[in-house]
Amino acid sequence: MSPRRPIVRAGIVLVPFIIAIIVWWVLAAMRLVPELFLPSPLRVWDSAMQMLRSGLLLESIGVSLLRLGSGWVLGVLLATLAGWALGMVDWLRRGVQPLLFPLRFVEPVAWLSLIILWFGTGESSKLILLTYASFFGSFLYILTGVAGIDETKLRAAQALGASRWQLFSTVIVPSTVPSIISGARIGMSYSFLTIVTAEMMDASSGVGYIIKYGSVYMRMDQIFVGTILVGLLGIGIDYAFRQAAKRLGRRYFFDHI
Amino acid sequence: MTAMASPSLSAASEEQEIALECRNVGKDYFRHNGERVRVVREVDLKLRKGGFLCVLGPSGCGKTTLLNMVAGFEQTTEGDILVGGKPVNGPGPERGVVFQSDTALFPWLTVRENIEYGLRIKGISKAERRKRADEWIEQVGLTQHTSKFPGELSGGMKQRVQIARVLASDPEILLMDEPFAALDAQTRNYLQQELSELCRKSGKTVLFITHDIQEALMLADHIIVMARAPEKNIKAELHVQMPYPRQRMNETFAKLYNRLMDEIDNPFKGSVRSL
Amino acid sequence: MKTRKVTRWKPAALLGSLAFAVLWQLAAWISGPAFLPGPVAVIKLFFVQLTTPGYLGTVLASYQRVLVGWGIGSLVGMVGGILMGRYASLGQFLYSPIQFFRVIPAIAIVPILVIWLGVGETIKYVIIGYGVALVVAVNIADAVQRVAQVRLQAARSMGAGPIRIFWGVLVPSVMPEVLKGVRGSLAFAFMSIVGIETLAAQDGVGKMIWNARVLHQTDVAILGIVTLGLMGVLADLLVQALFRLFGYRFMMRR
Repeated sequence: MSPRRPIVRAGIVLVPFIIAIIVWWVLAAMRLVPELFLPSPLRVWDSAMQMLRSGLLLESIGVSLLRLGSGWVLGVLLATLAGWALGMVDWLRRGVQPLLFPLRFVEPVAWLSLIILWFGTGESSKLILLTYASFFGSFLYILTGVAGIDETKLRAAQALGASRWQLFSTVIVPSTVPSIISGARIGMSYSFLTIVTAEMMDASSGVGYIIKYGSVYMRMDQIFVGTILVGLLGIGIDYAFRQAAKRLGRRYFFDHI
Repeated sequence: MTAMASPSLSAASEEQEIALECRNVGKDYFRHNGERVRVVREVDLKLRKGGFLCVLGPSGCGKTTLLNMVAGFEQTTEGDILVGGKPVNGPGPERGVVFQSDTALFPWLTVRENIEYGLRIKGISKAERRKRADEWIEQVGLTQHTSKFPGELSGGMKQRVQIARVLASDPEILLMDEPFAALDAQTRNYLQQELSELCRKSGKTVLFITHDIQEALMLADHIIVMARAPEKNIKAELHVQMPYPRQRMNETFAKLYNRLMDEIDNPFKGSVRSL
Repeated sequence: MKTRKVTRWKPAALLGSLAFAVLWQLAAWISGPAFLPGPVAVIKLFFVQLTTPGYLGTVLASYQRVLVGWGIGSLVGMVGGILMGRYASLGQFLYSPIQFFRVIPAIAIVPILVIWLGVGETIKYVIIGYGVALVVAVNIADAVQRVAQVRLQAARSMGAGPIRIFWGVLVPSVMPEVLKGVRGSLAFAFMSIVGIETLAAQDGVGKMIWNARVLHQTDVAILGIVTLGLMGVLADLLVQALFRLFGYRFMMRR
């Protein structure tokens, strides 16, 4: 997007949302739709405050973020190590890559059923599921980065006397940093999708559970609180991630010189 | 000013030390359909120490493949390549390579860090590394730009970094694969003059690949013309005995230019009807 | 960019699959078939199920949801993306809401939609199409903006008017990205099918996998996962074949 003053940009960002809230408010206030179908914004706000006071809100966020964070770190770590290993051993990469292709069409949460059968319904099952989700999201991406390492750079390093190990540490690792960072972000979004789905399917805590609870008891205000919370969390996580990546990896972001 | 051009084969005089020798080198590729294609055929050449050899040829004649084999990136299908009397077996720091593509630089390292790279690989101490890198940075005129990243430099500056990076690790022979082909004419001129001077000062041996006749005549003391299949791979050989620094706009240069022009075939020759 | 050292693809892939199957079978023998059924058992189950109408109905129900949702989403995304790329102000206006909705899992809206629209097929198309449309739109808008200006100028200098330039130059120019994006988004269409079917459907592969948990049918759960993978690969092959038939000239870069 073209550079503009921050205040104008913030305006452009906010306008669509302000319009949406106004429409929602008018629809609810004019009673065009029954309360059961569309609770008023005030009602939703009250409900959120109530949950905040009872501690349910913060506890749910905490539980979800903890699951998300630990699974994500583990998954990205494993994906990075696996990606580098396959980057070093070409025949292994070509043996493994086609096997991964069908997995692109299998939603991570599809494994939940199996994981529960194998490991029960405890926290460890969720950790395993989320580790997989984040691995799944980031690995495919990191692998593309590894496969696309510029041959000329490898040759240049070799011609300057780099050994196999030096080739790995001075060319392969830095070359893959951008795809690892992008992969980690994609892993995060898959993990988030998976944790929300999993908590809605089968959990007794977390932000997904707020939505599930609301829908079981037909409490539309609670469903709205949960859904909006999921949206805000998603945006917050993505924003934090982008900021962190910007600070960490500046020198690795010349796409190609 | 006298210039002689002798089309004799293997004219390198025997008393001088040979830096690079190719003996009957050939290379086959396989197409997707399994068909075998011979890209390099029966190449014999000798390059004496301190010499500047240009391999001149149209695209697709196998000249880059030849350089890749000398560099050790690709294996020969037949024949031997000897550098300093020893057969080539994979890439090594005694053969420095300057690539046509500036992606050969490491975009995550600064100019100085890029130039230090070869020294870091050798395990040279930080202070020494820095001293030597700074000397080369000065030699190629990049003192103002030491802590910039390659992505912030122009094409000409990036090729200067490549040259400095290779020279800093002090190779016995320099292999240059059309290093100036992607630059504008002006910058190319400057870099040709500077390279020529640098090489004469340091006495480096150079194998230089190009498709540009003028470039070959500006730089080389020895030119080999390569041709596409099915012709014989090495089509002609020429010793250029003009003194350095060379000038383009004189009679000798023009004569040699026209001779080389005749040797390099135009694949569309005769297919364009004159109006 | 040149390719790296040439290892042949097909033998490597075949060997990899074989190694994977052997490892899986070994693990199955060690753990016992109740915990982990081996590949042979799953293939047997597949052929047994193939003759029952229940399994085929399950597969077709999911296929319909994914493909219809994907088709609608791709279409909306294509049109939206081209418009957003063509009219910069529209693109800017929609940029942040789209980024906003991209990070929100569509599955979270399922309960609201169930109350609003009921548990019919519509909400499945909406949820699947939503994710696909956002991805396709963003990619295509980006592609439209990156169309080489010189190409548009070349057309203009030869006398083409705005409508001709739009349909004759701009749209064909982004076709490679469109095809790539549409094919790539097939995987996205599969990314919420299991969630939706467990939350708001009575049938489908997702439901089959989830129900397997209650009845302790490890083999059925694995069969479900394998089915999803096969459905995806089959759809992908079909899409590729269609592209090759009708879109070959657009697969060339530049």
